[in-house]
Amino acid sequence: MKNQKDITAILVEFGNGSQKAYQMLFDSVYDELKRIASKQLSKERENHTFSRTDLVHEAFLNMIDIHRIDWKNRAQFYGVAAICMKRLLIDYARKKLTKKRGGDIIKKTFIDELIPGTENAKEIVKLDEALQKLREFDNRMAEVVDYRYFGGLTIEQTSEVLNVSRNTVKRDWAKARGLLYKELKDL
Amino acid sequence: MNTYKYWEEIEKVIDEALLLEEEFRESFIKKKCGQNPDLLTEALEYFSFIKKAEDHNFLQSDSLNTSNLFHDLDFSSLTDIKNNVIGRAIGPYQITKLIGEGGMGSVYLGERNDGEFQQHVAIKFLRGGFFSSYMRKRFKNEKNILSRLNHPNITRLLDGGITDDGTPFLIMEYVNGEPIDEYCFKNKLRIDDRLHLFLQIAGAIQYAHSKLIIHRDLKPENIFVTKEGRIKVMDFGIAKFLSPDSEDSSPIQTREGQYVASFNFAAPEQLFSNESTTTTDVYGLGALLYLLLTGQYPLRLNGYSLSEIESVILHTEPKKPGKITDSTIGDIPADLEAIIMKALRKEPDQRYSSVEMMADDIKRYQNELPVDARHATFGYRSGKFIRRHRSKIAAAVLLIAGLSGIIIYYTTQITAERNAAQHEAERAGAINQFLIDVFETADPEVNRGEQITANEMLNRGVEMAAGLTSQPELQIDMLTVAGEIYLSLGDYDSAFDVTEKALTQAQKLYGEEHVVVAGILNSMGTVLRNNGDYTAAKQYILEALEQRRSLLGNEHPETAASLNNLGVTLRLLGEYEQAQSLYEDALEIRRSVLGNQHPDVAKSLNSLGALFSILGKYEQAHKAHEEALEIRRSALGNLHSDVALSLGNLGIVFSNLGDNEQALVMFEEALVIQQSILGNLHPRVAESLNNLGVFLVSLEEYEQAIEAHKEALEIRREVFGNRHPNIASSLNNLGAALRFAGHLPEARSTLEKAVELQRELLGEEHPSFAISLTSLAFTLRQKGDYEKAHIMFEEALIIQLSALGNLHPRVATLLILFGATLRELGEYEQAFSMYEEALHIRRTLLGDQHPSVAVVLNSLGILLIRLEEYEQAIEAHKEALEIRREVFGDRHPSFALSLNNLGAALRFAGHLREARSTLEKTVELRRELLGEEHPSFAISLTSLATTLQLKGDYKTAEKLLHQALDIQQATLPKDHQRKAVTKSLLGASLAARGQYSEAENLLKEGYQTLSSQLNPEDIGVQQAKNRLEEFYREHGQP
Repeated sequence: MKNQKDITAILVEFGNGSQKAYQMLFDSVYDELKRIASKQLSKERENHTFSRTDLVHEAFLNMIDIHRIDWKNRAQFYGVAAICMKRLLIDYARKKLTKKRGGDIIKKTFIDELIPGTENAKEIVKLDEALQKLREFDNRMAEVVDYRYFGGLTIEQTSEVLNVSRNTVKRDWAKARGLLYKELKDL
Repeated sequence: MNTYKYWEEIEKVIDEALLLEEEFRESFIKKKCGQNPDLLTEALEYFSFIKKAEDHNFLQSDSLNTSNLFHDLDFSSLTDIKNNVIGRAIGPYQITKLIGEGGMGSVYLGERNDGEFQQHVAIKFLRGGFFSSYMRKRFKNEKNILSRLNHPNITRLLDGGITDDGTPFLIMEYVNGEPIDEYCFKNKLRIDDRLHLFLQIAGAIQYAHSKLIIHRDLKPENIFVTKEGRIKVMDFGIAKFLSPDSEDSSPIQTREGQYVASFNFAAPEQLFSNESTTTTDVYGLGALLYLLLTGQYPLRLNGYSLSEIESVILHTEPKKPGKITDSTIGDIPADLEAIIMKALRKEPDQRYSSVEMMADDIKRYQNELPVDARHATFGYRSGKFIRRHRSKIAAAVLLIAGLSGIIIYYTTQITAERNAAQHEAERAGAINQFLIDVFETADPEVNRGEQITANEMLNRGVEMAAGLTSQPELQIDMLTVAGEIYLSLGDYDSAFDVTEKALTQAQKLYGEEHVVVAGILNSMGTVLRNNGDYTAAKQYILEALEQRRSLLGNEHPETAASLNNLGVTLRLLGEYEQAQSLYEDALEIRRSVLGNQHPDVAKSLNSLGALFSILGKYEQAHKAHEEALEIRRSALGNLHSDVALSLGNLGIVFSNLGDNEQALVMFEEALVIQQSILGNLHPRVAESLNNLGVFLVSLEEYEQAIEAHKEALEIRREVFGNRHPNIASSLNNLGAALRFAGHLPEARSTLEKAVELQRELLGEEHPSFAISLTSLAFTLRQKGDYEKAHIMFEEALIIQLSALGNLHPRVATLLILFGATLRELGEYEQAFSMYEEALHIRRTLLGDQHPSVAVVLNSLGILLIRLEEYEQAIEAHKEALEIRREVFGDRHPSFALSLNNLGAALRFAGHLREARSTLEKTVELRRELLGEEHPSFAISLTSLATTLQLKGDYKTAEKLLHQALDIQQATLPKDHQRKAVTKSLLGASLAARGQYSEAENLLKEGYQTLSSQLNPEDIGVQQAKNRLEEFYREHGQP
């Protein structure tokens, strides 16, 4: 993993609009989230469970030199981390479904706590497909779902990441859920 | 995705509808779309999906976590149990009836009937379900933990397991009784009886904490009183494995309705993290006591939404129990109110740090002793006082208010030191009351607007303390505290008097050897050190150290404090090696006793770093200060005054290492932090400015340095008044800056003030007085003052030698300055022996490779030129150059300086070619390092020009000298000597190139300026004179 200073610098660069910085940031954050999430549930950590929000937060603290970062950059980090989180969950859900069919026994990791059952893994994969369609129709709505649902970001954080008002996020969130509900549940 | 024909219209309508309250949305849509039935149908359908998504919590952030999934997967839902469970057998127990239902599951009465005796148990089925082996394992662990709890006031866990259909259950001791709140209210118990019950609860919780179990969910429903009047606390740690997956682990974030009661007892930290600690239970106990004494919950949460409830718990202070009028049991005593409010503080670290301490305070109240919870009152009141009167009151009083931190710290220390003594609480309370009394005499509201100085206030306090003869312990404490404050106020004599009195009294009361006596001995040492009596200080601190070692042991923070204190004293005595090993011992103790992250560790690192800086070990200094900074940042946060101190220290190191840019960043950041936390009027801000000023002098930014020192002086005058040692030290530094800038008359009068003030405040035997005297003497180099300077140097030397011995760095510094003055007087032989002695001292104390050694070698090199010992001069400069290369590298201003002087020495020795190339290198290096507008760059130019003149290249010399003069005109004051030298040199060049009249003017002007300022024997005067005479010889005198 790159050290805190590097990541912080990359984040600032990304804040100035560098696409390359985004890719570097994404890769690092993804790795870090995966590293934390894949930690075996060891004996001494048995009592410690992670929510998605916890994970993103821990990744942030691990990776960013908080003394050298302002609030805007922090929001950007959360945005990137949310997308990473989504990627991670979906990758994992797909893997879990495949493994299930193969009958493998996978060791328990923190991710298992985030996706507790096979049922849920299926749902996540289905949701991702529906979200793909939504994205083609209305990108921002899909982004709101990414951040809110997968990243565990609050309305407030989402509005900071997307740089839109909180009311806009609230509306997009409601509308997107309506559309997805129709797509997934209205059988 | 989108199947709607009228999407654009629909979206617009929906966007607007979503802004409305829920109940109006549908009618709004109908109204808006009424004209177009197709649009209406589509809009309503879409709206219905939005509503369904909302109602089903679709994609709500917690729907991914286990709770919904449990419902899908859990084949043994609670309803099933409810219907089937009665009559079933769980182990040896028969389930007979449902006795309770709650968020965590249902509780049944179980009976064991084996003919001989009957036993009742409570069987608790836990909601949630255990579908993974991991969960089962965890459940088993928790069960094991709970079974360790064996306390008369805690319900015993008898057994537990998982039913065949997967439902976990616990078999508990059955309690026949009622919840504590009902019991208290129904029986109309008196306060004392309620406290009696409460202390039983506290005892149980304390016991559990000793087994590392935190309850986390204290509330009346979990605390029963049996028929026999005994407390039974149940459900320990249950919340923890009730719903352990992801976000639901805290007891309050479960489904609406079920747990709302728990919000009333939930500590703020429980809302957002699972990090419950023992202080979480302190909060729960506080809330419980609140309820038991007032009949109300601490916070009003009824009718609020979830997010509003969160905000109330996080931000709203509970109404003071004493203010609740409809209390069922009469008035709540102020002490109990204070206890409850301390337990209910929002910040965990502001609460009682343990349940035991809370219980102790209640017992103290019961025994009519002052309670700990009210200690905070002093800080609270002084804080309020400052806020009220920030603009009105005298700055001196503000200082005292700022000292309340010291006072509180000190009184806590006193209490801690005397834990063994009886009635310590009483005394601590009395100290606070006493301080408040003293303090309020300064409050204009109490004092009818008169202004009172800090000193008057303190004198009054000491007078009041003198009347405390019936309470000798309190009297000793007060005198000791007064000593600390006098010390901060710079009144060292009074500090000495009261501390000595405290010591005598303490020795009478406690005997010669006692922790309190040791503490005062330590303070005595500090007072004496400030008084300049380092040797006596050393004796006292040594004694304190010995006592602490034997009474408290080697591995004790107080012992470490004495070690550090002794280290400071020895450092001032110049005994660096010993000081270093003392600092290191203190550091080691602090690391092992307090942990690596403790602020006291940072303090030790700070002392050590400062010493390393003195010793020229800059890398080590850098490391120590960096670590101190890290510790302080993580322990105290970024915006803290101590963090700024560390930044300042790092700045000093960077400045020594020649990284001026980095140093400036550090000094400025330190200053900004201090100003933003402490305001502009604070001694630490002055200290920051002072550091900055000293640094700016080293950068040769004299005017800015003067500004910084003047500002520091102003602040110190505001805060300390006109008569404080710190004022003298500011005057001294300001004077030095003025001297460097060439403002000699002003420098002189400033330094004279410093000397006078120190003579008065510190006496004529104080080393600090000697320092100012030296500085003044060095400034008196104008014509006619040499004799005075000479006398002053001698006086200072005698003071330093008797205070510090002859092997001390300050003696060396004095000898160098004395030597420089003698050099200018033409007393070369005497100057030479001074330099030699200084060199010997520094080599011995600091080693051969120290930059301070290079400084002496440099001065010696210059002197040797006067003595016409050119080859020796070259040797001296070469050695200085190598030291500087070693320590600073070859891209450092000091290195450039040595290069310049080496070049000059080579020129005098007649090695012109070598001189020229050396000086050319110097010019280049200074151009790079300092820029083309720097006075030192100008010096290099004149030096090179002189060499070129000797080689006959007057044309290039003239060019260089013009450039030098331009720089000096812009940067130096009017009659500066260096400018005069340059003019004289330029005159010589012009004469050689035939521009006689301009040459004559410059030669004359240069000589006159120099001879008016310097002794006729001075080599600069001599050379200027020679140049002028040579001109007249060749071109005739007018």
